[in-house]
Amino acid sequence: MSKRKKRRRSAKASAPESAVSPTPAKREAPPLNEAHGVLARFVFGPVSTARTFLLLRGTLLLLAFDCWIDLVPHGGRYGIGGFNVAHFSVLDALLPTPTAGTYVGSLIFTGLLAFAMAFRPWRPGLALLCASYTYGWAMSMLDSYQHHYLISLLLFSFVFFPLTSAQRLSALKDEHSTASRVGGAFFLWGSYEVLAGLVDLPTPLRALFTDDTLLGGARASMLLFGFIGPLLLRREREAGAPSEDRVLRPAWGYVSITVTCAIVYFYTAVTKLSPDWRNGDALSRIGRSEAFDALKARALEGMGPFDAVDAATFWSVMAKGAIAVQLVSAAAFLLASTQDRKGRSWLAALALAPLSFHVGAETMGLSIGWFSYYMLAVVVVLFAPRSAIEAAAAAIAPAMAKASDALAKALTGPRQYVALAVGALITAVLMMEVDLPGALGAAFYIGAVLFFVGVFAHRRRTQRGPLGVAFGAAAIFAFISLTATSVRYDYYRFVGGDHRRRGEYAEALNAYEKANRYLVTPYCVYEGESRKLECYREESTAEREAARRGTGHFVRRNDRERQAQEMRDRVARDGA
Amino acid sequence: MAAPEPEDEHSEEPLKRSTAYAVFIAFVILQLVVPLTYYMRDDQYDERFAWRMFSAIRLYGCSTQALETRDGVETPLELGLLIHNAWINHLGRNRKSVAHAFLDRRCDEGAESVRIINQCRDVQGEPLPPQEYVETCDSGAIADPEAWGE
Repeated sequence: MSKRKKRRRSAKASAPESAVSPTPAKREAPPLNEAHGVLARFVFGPVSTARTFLLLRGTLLLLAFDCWIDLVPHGGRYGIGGFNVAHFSVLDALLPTPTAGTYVGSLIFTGLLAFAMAFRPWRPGLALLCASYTYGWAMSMLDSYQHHYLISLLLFSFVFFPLTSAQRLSALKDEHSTASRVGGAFFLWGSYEVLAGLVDLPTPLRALFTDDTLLGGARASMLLFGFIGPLLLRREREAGAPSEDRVLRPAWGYVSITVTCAIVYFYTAVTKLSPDWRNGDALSRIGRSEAFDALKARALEGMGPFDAVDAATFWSVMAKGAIAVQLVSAAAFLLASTQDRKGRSWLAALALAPLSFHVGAETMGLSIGWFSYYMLAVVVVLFAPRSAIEAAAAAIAPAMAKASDALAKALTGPRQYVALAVGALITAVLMMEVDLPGALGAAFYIGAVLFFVGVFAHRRRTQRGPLGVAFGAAAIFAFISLTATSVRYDYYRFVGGDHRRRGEYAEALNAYEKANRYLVTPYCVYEGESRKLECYREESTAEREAARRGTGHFVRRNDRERQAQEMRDRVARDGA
Repeated sequence: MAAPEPEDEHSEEPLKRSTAYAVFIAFVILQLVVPLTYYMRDDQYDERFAWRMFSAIRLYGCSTQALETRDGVETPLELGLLIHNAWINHLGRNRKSVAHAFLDRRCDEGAESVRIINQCRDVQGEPLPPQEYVETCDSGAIADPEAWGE
């Protein structure tokens, strides 16, 4: 038999794996030319839509809060002195110099759009999201985080994602018993608990358990049940069952994300092949954290079967380890999209490489924003066993479908335009109250988006009313994120600090007074004289936490009152 | 019957397979090529889009000084009063486009010539040759430091 025939036959043999629809004439796009072979099968291979569903929505939700909570506080530095250099000279040539309002407004707008798209994904909206987020970092080199560029690449791939609805995914309910779906919910929660715990974020279990051993046990049990529950309690899937058709589909946008991650890890590993990295000098400069110090101290004494090593050897071994982990991570991401094919479930084990790398990065306290959170979430969705990820989707999809159905039924005809208008109005009212430059501009642009959505819905005779609800909900969450956290305090204290450095005391005083007005967690636990650990709203809570941490920890008020007073004195002196 | 779900209108594949395939391949090639351009250009400091996170170059420690000449007299500039600290950090990282923009700005504001000098140390703490960017405002000509360390 010729090689070509063999290839053709093997492609047919794999058909049940990739061509998952029982009604191929209706669903399947025409097959690619045989010449594309292995690569085409890789690009258009079957992926569980539970993964695409959770990856798209989870990432967009994280992005929304990232924009509001982590990025907005840095907006005050934009436009100072009228100086700016964009990442691309064409932006400098075409657009005016960005100001604090431009940056903060575009980030609030991007967050609102990301949140709404997480609940009502719509392809034009996803394309606009990719453009607005990219503009957010590209407008100035003040934002030079490389992972923001990575997120733009992911958002580009999202535009081509299968926009699986919750209704479609509800088919999974048929093959997951209630107990299995509870297991799926525990998987999601347990994943958050373990990952958030590793990077010291607050979690529900952390609030429940003060004892670290009990906390660890609870987290491990939850995750274990989340993994094993769906495996044991899942109903047997019949061959060609409708749920299989709905769940396994080609998703080249998803494959593009896994390949993008593989490329990033590959190049990052290549970068570290320089002598300065391999001999550990670079790592020793950035790896200054308690956890690393403790590990180094143990290595210098000798760990288990390993002999004691000197500091130079320790850093060299760690640096080479990081390179190896990144190369394995690159391979893992490259293969991740094939995990839902028969006999590939072992790929889940490869998640250990990227997980260990990002947990390590967080432990080292590298200043990389929320990058590790994104990657940890991505790793969980990409590599979790199919049974667990589908049980997780089955746990949340039916409720989402029910809510979505109810909204779609309620917002028919002219009522959809009312919903869109109310969404815009809620956004405008709430953004007027946040007292950040650009917030009202963001609301204006959201209004414009909703206006065009309405025009589009009218022309195409489609129903877009739920988008108005999604934007309204987004505005409420944006308002809470911007006002109930330290976002505004940080924004104004940074602005105050900059004016103070430049001798603009009246402006600095104004900013410091605003910072103090918007301080939400004034009582901070310190270790020693200067190391701030956590801040709390209530002094009693902070005192309790300091006592729990033991000697050397105490509570101090953390505000900008001293700086404000200093500015008052200077303004008074200058005025006199 | 359930009301129609808007997103279902778009839940099928967004592009024809052949178009999707072309977009995918082009996107991947672009991602492979863009970081490679770093290794082909002479500006080793501009590590954007090259996935060189925490590279040894990124960890160089530099101190930045700017001087400008007016009426034939050269005086040091108080950078902190002119631009945000974040831009001073960019100057310290030898970001060429930022250095050029700053030089142009000072020339536009009436200087005769402007210099930015970065004194850097590598990750072992060894001093590196100074990096000096100079603009002669009359001609608008900018002299960049020579590439080194390659």
